[in-house]
Amino acid sequence: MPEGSSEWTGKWVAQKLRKNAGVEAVDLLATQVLRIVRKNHQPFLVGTIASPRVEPSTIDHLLNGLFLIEIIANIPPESFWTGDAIAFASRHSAAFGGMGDLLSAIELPDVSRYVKKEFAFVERGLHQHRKVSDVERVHDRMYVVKRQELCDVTVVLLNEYELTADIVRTARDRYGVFTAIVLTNPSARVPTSLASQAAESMGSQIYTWREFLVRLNNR
Amino acid sequence: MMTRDELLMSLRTEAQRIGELAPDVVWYLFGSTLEAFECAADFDVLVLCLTNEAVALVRHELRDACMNLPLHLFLLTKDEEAELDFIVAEGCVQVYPVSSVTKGTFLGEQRGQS
Repeated sequence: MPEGSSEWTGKWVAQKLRKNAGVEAVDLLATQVLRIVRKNHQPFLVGTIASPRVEPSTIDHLLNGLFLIEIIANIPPESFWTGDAIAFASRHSAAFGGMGDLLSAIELPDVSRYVKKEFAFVERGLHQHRKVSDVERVHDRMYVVKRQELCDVTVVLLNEYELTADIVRTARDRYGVFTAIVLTNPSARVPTSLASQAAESMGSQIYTWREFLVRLNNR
Repeated sequence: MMTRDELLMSLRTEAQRIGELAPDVVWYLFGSTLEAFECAADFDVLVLCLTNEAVALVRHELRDACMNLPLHLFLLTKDEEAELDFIVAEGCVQVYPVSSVTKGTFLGEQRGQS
Protein backbone atom coordinates (compact mmCIF):
# COMPACT_ATOMS: atom_id res chain seq x y z
CA MET A 1 0.00 0.00 0.00
CA PRO A 2 1.29 3.48 -0.80
CA GLU A 3 2.99 5.41 1.96
CA GLY A 4 0.78 7.95 3.67
CA SER A 5 -2.33 6.78 1.84
CA SER A 6 -5.75 6.44 3.48
CA GLU A 7 -7.07 4.21 0.72
CA TRP A 8 -6.65 0.97 2.67
CA THR A 9 -8.90 2.17 5.47
CA GLY A 10 -12.25 1.78 3.69
CA LYS A 11 -11.72 -1.91 2.94
CA TRP A 12 -10.29 -2.52 6.41
CA VAL A 13 -13.31 -0.99 8.14
CA ALA A 14 -15.73 -2.79 5.83
CA GLN A 15 -14.16 -6.14 6.69
CA LYS A 16 -14.34 -5.44 10.41
CA LEU A 17 -17.90 -4.11 10.37
CA ARG A 18 -19.25 -7.07 8.41
CA LYS A 19 -18.47 -9.15 11.50
CA ASN A 20 -20.44 -6.78 13.76
CA ALA A 21 -23.68 -8.23 15.17
CA GLY A 22 -25.58 -4.97 14.71
CA VAL A 23 -24.63 -4.58 11.06
CA GLU A 24 -26.66 -6.05 8.23
CA ALA A 25 -24.58 -4.88 5.27
CA VAL A 26 -21.62 -2.69 4.40
CA ASP A 27 -21.35 -1.02 0.99
CA LEU A 28 -18.06 0.53 -0.08
CA LEU A 29 -19.25 3.65 -1.95
CA ALA A 30 -15.73 5.01 -2.46
CA THR A 31 -12.28 4.02 -1.20
CA GLN A 32 -12.89 6.00 2.00
CA VAL A 33 -16.68 6.12 2.20
CA LEU A 34 -18.90 3.30 3.47
CA ARG A 35 -22.65 2.94 3.83
CA ILE A 36 -23.50 0.92 6.92
CA VAL A 37 -26.89 -0.80 6.95
CA ARG A 38 -27.91 -1.64 10.51
CA LYS A 39 -30.40 -4.14 11.90
CA ASN A 40 -32.02 -1.79 14.41
CA HIS A 41 -31.43 1.71 13.07
CA GLN A 42 -31.26 3.74 9.87
CA PRO A 43 -28.24 3.34 7.57
CA PHE A 44 -25.47 5.91 7.81
CA LEU A 45 -22.31 6.96 5.98
CA VAL A 46 -18.84 6.83 7.48
CA GLY A 47 -15.68 8.40 6.11
CA THR A 48 -12.37 6.68 6.88
CA ILE A 49 -8.87 8.17 7.02
CA ALA A 50 -5.34 7.32 8.13
CA SER A 51 -3.49 10.33 9.46
CA PRO A 52 -1.09 10.83 12.38
CA ARG A 53 -2.54 14.33 12.93
CA VAL A 54 -6.02 15.05 11.64
CA GLU A 55 -6.39 18.61 10.35
CA PRO A 56 -9.36 20.20 8.53
CA SER A 57 -7.50 19.62 5.25
CA THR A 58 -7.34 15.88 6.04
CA ILE A 59 -11.13 15.55 6.05
CA ASP A 60 -12.22 18.37 3.73
CA HIS A 61 -12.63 16.07 0.72
CA LEU A 62 -14.95 13.84 2.73
CA LEU A 63 -17.11 16.55 4.30
CA ASN A 64 -17.32 18.71 1.18
CA GLY A 65 -17.66 15.81 -1.24
CA LEU A 66 -20.60 13.99 -2.77
CA PHE A 67 -21.64 12.16 0.38
CA LEU A 68 -23.37 13.22 3.58
CA ILE A 69 -20.85 11.76 6.02
CA GLU A 70 -22.14 11.34 9.59
CA ILE A 71 -18.93 10.18 11.26
CA ILE A 72 -15.26 10.15 10.34
CA ALA A 73 -13.03 7.43 11.74
CA ASN A 74 -9.25 7.84 11.77
CA ILE A 75 -8.15 4.22 11.82
CA PRO A 76 -4.51 4.27 13.07
CA PRO A 77 -4.49 4.27 16.90
CA GLU A 78 -1.19 6.20 16.92
CA SER A 79 -2.77 9.50 15.97
CA PHE A 80 -4.81 12.44 17.20
CA TRP A 81 -7.42 14.96 16.11
CA THR A 82 -6.60 18.65 16.25
CA GLY A 83 -9.15 21.03 17.72
CA ASP A 84 -9.57 22.69 14.31
CA ALA A 85 -10.44 19.36 12.71
CA ILE A 86 -12.94 18.56 15.44
CA ALA A 87 -14.59 21.98 14.99
CA PHE A 88 -14.60 21.51 11.21
CA ALA A 89 -16.31 18.12 11.54
CA SER A 90 -18.80 19.57 14.01
CA ARG A 91 -19.73 22.38 11.60
CA HIS A 92 -20.55 19.66 9.07
CA SER A 93 -22.61 17.76 11.68
CA ALA A 94 -20.19 14.85 11.69
CA ALA A 95 -18.90 12.96 14.71
CA PHE A 96 -15.21 12.12 14.98
CA GLY A 97 -13.02 9.42 16.46
CA GLY A 98 -11.20 6.19 15.73
CA MET A 99 -12.23 2.61 15.02
CA GLY A 100 -13.38 2.04 18.60
CA ASP A 101 -15.56 5.13 18.42
CA LEU A 102 -17.12 3.93 15.19
CA LEU A 103 -17.97 0.59 16.81
CA SER A 104 -19.63 2.44 19.72
CA ALA A 105 -21.46 4.91 17.46
CA ILE A 106 -23.08 2.07 15.50
CA GLU A 107 -25.34 1.44 18.47
CA LEU A 108 -26.78 4.97 18.40
CA PRO A 109 -29.87 5.91 16.37
CA ASP A 110 -28.17 9.16 15.29
CA VAL A 111 -24.50 8.43 14.68
CA SER A 112 -23.65 12.08 14.04
CA ARG A 113 -24.37 12.86 17.70
CA TYR A 114 -21.83 10.38 18.99
CA VAL A 115 -19.44 11.67 21.68
CA LYS A 116 -16.90 9.44 23.39
CA LYS A 117 -18.15 8.70 26.91
CA GLU A 118 -14.78 9.63 28.41
CA PHE A 119 -14.92 13.13 26.92
CA ALA A 120 -18.58 13.66 27.84
CA PHE A 121 -17.85 12.63 31.43
CA VAL A 122 -14.83 14.92 31.79
CA GLU A 123 -16.44 17.94 30.12
CA ARG A 124 -19.53 17.62 32.31
CA GLY A 125 -17.42 17.30 35.45
CA LEU A 126 -15.31 20.31 34.55
CA HIS A 127 -18.28 22.52 33.68
CA GLN A 128 -19.91 21.65 36.99
CA HIS A 129 -16.79 22.44 39.05
CA ARG A 130 -17.36 25.54 41.18
CA LYS A 131 -13.96 27.03 40.35
CA VAL A 132 -14.22 26.52 36.60
CA SER A 133 -15.48 29.42 34.50
CA ASP A 134 -14.90 27.96 31.06
CA VAL A 135 -13.44 24.93 29.28
CA GLU A 136 -11.74 25.26 25.90
CA ARG A 137 -10.91 22.24 23.82
CA VAL A 138 -7.51 22.61 22.13
CA HIS A 139 -7.20 19.10 20.65
CA ASP A 140 -9.02 15.80 21.14
CA ARG A 141 -7.35 15.07 24.51
CA MET A 142 -6.20 18.54 25.45
CA TYR A 143 -8.24 21.23 27.21
CA VAL A 144 -7.56 24.62 28.77
CA VAL A 145 -9.53 24.90 32.01
CA LYS A 146 -10.26 28.52 32.92
CA ARG A 147 -10.84 29.19 36.59
CA GLN A 148 -12.38 32.00 38.60
CA GLU A 149 -9.62 34.15 40.15
CA LEU A 150 -7.04 31.44 39.47
CA CYS A 151 -4.71 30.77 36.56
CA ASP A 152 -5.65 28.51 33.64
CA VAL A 153 -4.73 24.83 33.73
CA THR A 154 -3.78 23.09 30.48
CA VAL A 155 -4.60 19.43 30.81
CA VAL A 156 -4.18 16.31 28.71
CA LEU A 157 -6.43 13.31 29.26
CA LEU A 158 -4.83 9.87 28.99
CA ASN A 159 -6.95 6.74 29.10
CA GLU A 160 -4.21 4.13 29.38
CA TYR A 161 -4.14 1.31 31.93
CA GLU A 162 -0.39 1.64 32.27
CA LEU A 163 1.30 5.02 31.96
CA THR A 164 4.87 4.77 30.68
CA ALA A 165 7.43 7.45 29.86
CA ASP A 166 6.82 6.89 26.15
CA ILE A 167 3.11 7.66 26.52
CA VAL A 168 3.89 10.86 28.42
CA ARG A 169 6.49 11.94 25.87
CA THR A 170 4.26 11.06 22.93
CA ALA A 171 1.52 13.23 24.44
CA ARG A 172 4.03 16.09 24.70
CA ASP A 173 5.05 15.64 21.06
CA ARG A 174 1.43 15.64 19.93
CA TYR A 175 -0.11 18.32 22.06
CA GLY A 176 2.70 20.68 23.09
CA VAL A 177 3.07 22.12 26.58
CA PHE A 178 0.62 21.10 29.31
CA THR A 179 0.76 21.34 33.08
CA ALA A 180 -1.48 18.44 34.05
CA ILE A 181 -2.05 14.88 32.95
CA VAL A 182 -5.30 13.27 34.07
CA LEU A 183 -5.63 9.50 34.04
CA THR A 184 -9.24 9.02 32.97
CA ASN A 185 -9.19 5.24 33.08
CA PRO A 186 -10.65 4.24 36.46
CA SER A 187 -8.58 1.05 36.31
CA ALA A 188 -5.32 2.87 35.59
CA ARG A 189 -2.32 1.62 37.53
CA VAL A 190 0.29 3.76 39.22
CA PRO A 191 2.50 5.38 36.52
CA THR A 192 5.97 3.91 36.12
CA SER A 193 8.84 5.76 37.79
CA LEU A 194 10.11 6.85 34.39
CA ALA A 195 6.66 8.16 33.43
CA SER A 196 6.55 10.28 36.59
CA GLN A 197 10.09 11.53 35.90
CA ALA A 198 9.21 12.37 32.31
CA ALA A 199 6.13 14.33 33.41
CA GLU A 200 8.09 16.17 36.08
CA SER A 201 10.88 17.05 33.66
CA MET A 202 8.36 18.79 31.41
CA GLY A 203 6.68 20.64 34.27
CA SER A 204 3.59 18.44 34.45
CA GLN A 205 1.86 16.63 37.28
CA ILE A 206 -0.04 13.36 36.91
CA TYR A 207 -3.47 13.12 38.56
CA THR A 208 -6.36 10.74 38.84
CA TRP A 209 -9.72 12.31 37.95
CA ARG A 210 -10.60 12.77 41.60
CA GLU A 211 -7.21 14.30 42.43
CA PHE A 212 -7.58 16.71 39.52
CA LEU A 213 -10.94 17.99 40.74
CA VAL A 214 -9.27 18.80 44.06
CA ARG A 215 -6.28 20.36 42.26
CA LEU A 216 -8.59 22.80 40.49
CA ASN A 217 -9.41 24.40 43.84
CA ASN A 218 -5.78 25.28 44.47
CA ARG A 219 -3.27 27.72 42.98
CA MET B 1 -8.07 -9.04 4.94
CA MET B 2 -4.60 -9.24 6.43
CA THR B 3 -3.75 -12.70 7.69
CA ARG B 4 -1.86 -13.47 10.87
CA ASP B 5 1.14 -14.59 8.87
CA GLU B 6 1.14 -11.36 6.88
CA LEU B 7 1.03 -9.34 10.09
CA LEU B 8 3.91 -11.33 11.52
CA MET B 9 5.91 -10.90 8.34
CA SER B 10 5.35 -7.13 8.35
CA LEU B 11 6.29 -6.81 12.01
CA ARG B 12 9.39 -8.95 11.69
CA THR B 13 10.55 -6.98 8.66
CA GLU B 14 10.22 -3.76 10.66
CA ALA B 15 11.82 -5.36 13.72
CA GLN B 16 14.80 -6.55 11.69
CA ARG B 17 15.27 -3.13 10.05
CA ILE B 18 14.99 -1.24 13.33
CA GLY B 19 17.11 -3.85 15.12
CA GLU B 20 20.10 -2.69 13.10
CA LEU B 21 19.65 0.77 14.64
CA ALA B 22 18.64 -0.34 18.14
CA PRO B 23 19.91 -3.81 19.05
CA ASP B 24 18.43 -5.96 21.84
CA VAL B 25 14.86 -4.83 21.21
CA VAL B 26 12.23 -7.53 21.74
CA TRP B 27 8.80 -7.45 20.08
CA TYR B 28 5.58 -9.00 21.39
CA LEU B 29 1.91 -9.18 20.46
CA PHE B 30 -0.84 -9.07 23.07
CA GLY B 31 -4.52 -8.36 23.65
CA SER B 32 -7.21 -8.89 21.02
CA THR B 33 -4.58 -9.54 18.36
CA LEU B 34 -3.95 -12.87 20.10
CA GLU B 35 -7.43 -13.56 21.45
CA ALA B 36 -9.61 -12.73 18.45
CA PHE B 37 -7.45 -11.84 15.47
CA GLU B 38 -10.27 -11.73 12.93
CA CYS B 39 -12.26 -9.24 15.01
CA ALA B 40 -9.37 -7.15 16.35
CA ALA B 41 -9.89 -3.45 15.59
CA ASP B 42 -6.14 -2.91 15.89
CA PHE B 43 -2.93 -4.80 16.54
CA ASP B 44 -1.44 -4.46 20.03
CA VAL B 45 2.35 -4.47 19.77
CA LEU B 46 4.68 -4.30 22.77
CA VAL B 47 8.28 -3.34 22.08
CA LEU B 48 10.69 -3.86 24.95
CA CYS B 49 13.80 -1.67 24.85
CA LEU B 50 16.90 -1.28 26.99
CA THR B 51 16.86 2.53 27.15
CA ASN B 52 14.62 5.58 26.73
CA GLU B 53 16.67 6.48 23.66
CA ALA B 54 15.84 3.15 22.05
CA VAL B 55 12.13 3.69 22.84
CA ALA B 56 12.23 7.08 21.10
CA LEU B 57 14.04 5.61 18.11
CA VAL B 58 11.58 2.73 17.71
CA ARG B 59 8.58 5.07 17.87
CA HIS B 60 10.19 7.36 15.30
CA GLU B 61 11.03 4.50 12.96
CA LEU B 62 7.50 3.06 13.15
CA ARG B 63 5.77 6.27 12.00
CA ASP B 64 5.10 5.05 8.47
CA ALA B 65 4.16 1.53 9.54
CA CYS B 66 1.59 2.98 11.94
CA MET B 67 -0.14 4.75 9.04
CA ASN B 68 -0.26 1.65 6.89
CA LEU B 69 -1.41 -0.77 9.59
CA PRO B 70 -3.57 -0.12 12.67
CA LEU B 71 -0.71 -0.72 15.12
CA HIS B 72 -1.30 0.18 18.76
CA LEU B 73 2.16 0.60 20.24
CA PHE B 74 3.14 -0.06 23.82
CA LEU B 75 6.81 0.87 24.10
CA LEU B 76 8.65 0.57 27.36
CA THR B 77 12.05 0.01 28.91
CA LYS B 78 13.06 -3.13 30.75
CA ASP B 79 12.98 -1.18 34.02
CA GLU B 80 9.38 -0.17 33.38
CA GLU B 81 8.45 -3.71 32.44
CA ALA B 82 9.96 -4.91 35.72
CA GLU B 83 7.67 -2.49 37.56
CA LEU B 84 4.55 -3.46 35.64
CA ASP B 85 5.20 -7.18 35.03
CA PHE B 86 3.10 -6.62 31.92
CA ILE B 87 4.46 -9.39 29.71
CA VAL B 88 3.55 -12.20 32.07
CA ALA B 89 0.33 -10.61 33.36
CA GLU B 90 -1.04 -10.03 29.85
CA GLY B 91 0.27 -13.23 28.29
CA CYS B 92 2.30 -11.37 25.65
CA VAL B 93 3.77 -13.57 22.93
CA GLN B 94 7.25 -12.82 21.62
CA VAL B 95 7.35 -12.45 17.84
CA TYR B 96 10.88 -11.07 17.36
CA PRO B 97 13.53 -12.30 17.74
CA VAL B 98 11.78 -15.58 16.97
CA SER B 99 12.36 -17.74 20.03
CA SER B 100 12.54 -21.51 20.13
CA VAL B 101 9.41 -21.50 22.30
CA THR B 102 7.20 -19.44 20.00
CA LYS B 103 8.55 -20.48 16.62
CA GLY B 104 6.09 -22.61 14.77
CA THR B 105 3.49 -22.56 17.49
CA PHE B 106 2.38 -18.95 17.61
CA LEU B 107 -0.89 -18.10 15.91
CA GLY B 108 -0.87 -21.28 13.89
CA GLU B 109 2.20 -20.24 11.89
CA GLN B 110 3.31 -23.83 11.47
CA ARG B 111 -0.07 -24.90 10.20
CA GLY B 112 -0.26 -21.92 7.87
CA GLN B 113 -3.60 -20.83 9.30
CA SER B 114 -4.84 -17.34 8.60
